[in-house]
Amino acid sequence: MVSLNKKEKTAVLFLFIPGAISATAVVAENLWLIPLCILSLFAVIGFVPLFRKRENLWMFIGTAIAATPPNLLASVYFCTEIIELRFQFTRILWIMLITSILLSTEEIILGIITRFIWKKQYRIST
Amino acid sequence: MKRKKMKRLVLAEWIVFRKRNDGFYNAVNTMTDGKTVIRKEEIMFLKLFDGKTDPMKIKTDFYIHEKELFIKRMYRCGVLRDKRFAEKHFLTCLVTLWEPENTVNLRVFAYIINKLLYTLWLPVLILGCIFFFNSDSLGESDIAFITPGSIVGLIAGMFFHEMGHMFACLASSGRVYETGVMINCGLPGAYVIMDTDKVHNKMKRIQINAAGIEMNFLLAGAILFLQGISYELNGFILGFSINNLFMGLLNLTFIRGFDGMAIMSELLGTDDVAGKALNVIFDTHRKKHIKRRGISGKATVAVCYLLQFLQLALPALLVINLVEVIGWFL
Repeated sequence: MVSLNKKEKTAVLFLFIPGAISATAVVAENLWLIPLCILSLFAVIGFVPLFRKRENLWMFIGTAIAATPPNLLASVYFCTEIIELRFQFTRILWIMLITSILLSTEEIILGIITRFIWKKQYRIST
Repeated sequence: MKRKKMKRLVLAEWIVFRKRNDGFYNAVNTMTDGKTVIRKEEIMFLKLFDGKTDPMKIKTDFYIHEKELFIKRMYRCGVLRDKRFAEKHFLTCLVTLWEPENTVNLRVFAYIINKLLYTLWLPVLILGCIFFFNSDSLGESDIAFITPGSIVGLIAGMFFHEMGHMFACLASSGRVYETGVMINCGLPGAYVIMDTDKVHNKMKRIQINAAGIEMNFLLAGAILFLQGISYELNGFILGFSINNLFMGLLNLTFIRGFDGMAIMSELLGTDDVAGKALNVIFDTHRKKHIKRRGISGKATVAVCYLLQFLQLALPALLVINLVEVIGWFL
């Protein structure tokens, strides 16, 4: 288990705000909440001091949290309503693939915008 | 090694020689950062390999058996390569088609193409889709022509994808060594070998990695404007376009080796983040060390796990393709 101090826990909690907005958008079927979700993601990344100089790293995590509910909904809708599957057991694989494609696209778009806004960042080192 | 093969050996273009403190030199592979220790006389000998002359007939101070051993060692280390093949192993073969010369004219041409590419790919794709959906002949496609369209789209897509990378690299002052076709793990494709070390601008490096995907989307959008010419062609165009669109989208995923992963590596500020992520996950000591850096360290480990989870898209894709192929025959 990961142990975080109080400050870190608060910072991570902020990261779930865009996720909560996107989940609300999915449940309420209100697409107008999606732009609000994106704006809140940038706001959280920009204003939380612990995320400074590592905006792309946190944007990656924030996007993964926020984008999962709508991506799952979109891929399930695509696999049930749009395409006709010859073998039903491949449905779960198609959902995985489409969710992965959607997530990657969103990560790249938001990542590029993040780089434009915050040019100077520390490199992620492993 | 057969004499016929030895004749075709040339010094690999991506090898540079750097002097060491002890008087020896390092033959550095700029693509893999691998190093091979070599002497000055051996470098002079290697520079005489032109891909036509039998190296055993080149006059040097080496004995015949020394020459043979040296040539085999240099071939194994990748310093020498077959003139026709950039690489040749079991199930992998890269056939060289073109080694572009880095001339001013080519760079200017590449600059213009690259500029058009990153300006036009999105408008062309959107307009192409609008044209397609507003077309009077929507729904009137000869299904029999979708498969040939897909196959031609796949071949053209692969070719233009690599051209996109090549032009973007040349436009950004990178170095392109060669381009060609390949069989990789039994699957056909195209390749381009380039070096972007001299491209210092991060956005330009991202655009070089994204250029292939942009080209696929541009092709997918541009061909849709031909919709409506004839009933048979509609099916062909649909197959061509869908295949290129899917190729572009698939390349965006974070599968190791795909362009999307290369773009994300640049955005996160590290090389081969997928490979490093795998090392982190399986090395408990390293993981603990990274976590000690505080919240950013823990976030780094989380990103490593997420990236590895996203690698599952590749086996999912392979199983889907296999099932579809089997389904054709049933």
